[in-house]
Amino acid sequence: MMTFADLDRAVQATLASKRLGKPVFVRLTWQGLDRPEAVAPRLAQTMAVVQQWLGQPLDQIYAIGSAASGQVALTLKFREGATALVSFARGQPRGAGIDLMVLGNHGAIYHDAGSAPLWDEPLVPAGQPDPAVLALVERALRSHQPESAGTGGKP
Amino acid sequence: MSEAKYGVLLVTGSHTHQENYAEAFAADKRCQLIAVTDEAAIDPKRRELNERLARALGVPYLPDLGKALERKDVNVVSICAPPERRGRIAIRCAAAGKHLYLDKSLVPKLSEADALVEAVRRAGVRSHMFSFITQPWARQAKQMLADGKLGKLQAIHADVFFAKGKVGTAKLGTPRKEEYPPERHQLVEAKRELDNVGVYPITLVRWLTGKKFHTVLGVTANYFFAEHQRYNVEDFGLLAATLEDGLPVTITAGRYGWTTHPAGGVNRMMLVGSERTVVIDANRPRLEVYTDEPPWVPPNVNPADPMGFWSSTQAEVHVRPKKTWVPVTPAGTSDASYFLDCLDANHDSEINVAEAALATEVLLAAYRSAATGEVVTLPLPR
Repeated sequence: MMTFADLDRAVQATLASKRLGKPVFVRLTWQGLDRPEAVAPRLAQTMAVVQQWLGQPLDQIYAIGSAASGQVALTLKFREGATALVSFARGQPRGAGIDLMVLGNHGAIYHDAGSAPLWDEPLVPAGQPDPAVLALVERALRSHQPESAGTGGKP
Repeated sequence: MSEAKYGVLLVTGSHTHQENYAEAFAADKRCQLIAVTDEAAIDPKRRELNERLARALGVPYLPDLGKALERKDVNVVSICAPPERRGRIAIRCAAAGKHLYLDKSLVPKLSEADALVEAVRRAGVRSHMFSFITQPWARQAKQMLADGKLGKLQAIHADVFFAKGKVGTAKLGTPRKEEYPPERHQLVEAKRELDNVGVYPITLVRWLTGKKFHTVLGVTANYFFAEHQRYNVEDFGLLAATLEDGLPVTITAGRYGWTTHPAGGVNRMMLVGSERTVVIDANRPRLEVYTDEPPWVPPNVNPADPMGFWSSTQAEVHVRPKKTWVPVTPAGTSDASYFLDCLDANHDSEINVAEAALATEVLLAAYRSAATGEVVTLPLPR
């Protein structure tokens, strides 16, 4: 069974091969039936993975939607210009429930239900989110304003 | 004039989307192309390009728009003038009582958009801006929402990218500094791609939901092309927005290179509903065809159009069609024919200038947000 760690490894390996050039943008939409209290931790975990792919310090985060509504989209701006949209959409996932596009300055990675396992098996990130990243996500969800990630790209 | 019902006047010629629009109008039996025209005081290069399309279409070139508009056999004007001239030309055409078929996006300035909406209202003419609404997948999405198949719509995530141009030449490392109001929308080498491409998903979101945008956070970037960077226009744009009912919407748009996608580029929209989520993808359903034919390679760069904006310039460098993905469903009605259907039925286009002006306002809000870093609330101040 594919795990989130498998997907992460595959993306990292592709990025490390330099086939895409320098990664500049990630769109990752996560679909699942998570409870509202699980949404922010899951987004924080995903955010950390996306940041690793882009390899840049986080500069700013902005949130629309709410965990309660089951629809959240985080806009992430990174210090050297990369950007990301990390979203959670509550609903029955299709395939692995991950819809991913990574753009590099020489190419792109696509992964969606069409390239996932041919059955519905939602991916779940292992471990716990970084408390500081989680706090930043929660702050952005409360304010609905652009929030600075603080110096050093770590909240 | 032939039996055709509508005489179509073309404002501007080659190296604009008029190459495609003229072809679409000419293919509809209800139309007769009357002439190509433009403002009298245009530069020699633009005039030569206008005359070139007129010759290719076998119609006269009328060098004075004012005189061309006096012709009684002109019913519709297809306007592909550069964005900076488009508004004033469209207003003249509306005042002359002609129906307007307009290239996208509508106009670069809010004041121009407002003036055009008022001019069309005053003249009582019909208007339409080119969009994706006639595409079968867009119609299907609209129908699904109307039928309530998704339950209550809860979020929209849309991406539209054009897979054209030779990538990897932009200098990376610092965020783009946006300007407001945005200038220089369309150059030979580059366009503002948030405006040029982003107008499609913005228009679709409004058309699908019937809701206006309420807040917009916009980001623009230079990720791919030195040409865009040289002229200080973006090749990538992103919107995180809410609609008037609070519905979250995210949009990305841009131009990302010939080889970044197996077909013409990502063109998809995730509609998240309370009962069901669907991904509407212009590239699905499809056949995937693999053969021993030589692999597709990008064309040589045409200095007259390095990004592959126009049909004629792509033909000059012998662009081959990508053939790995083959559409399964038939193409829909052409956008031009859709507008003629509206004229036949004497009703407004779903993307008339008033609707197109709303998209202009969202785009301007995105540029303002990108310039200031702040969330912008609509409507914009007048």
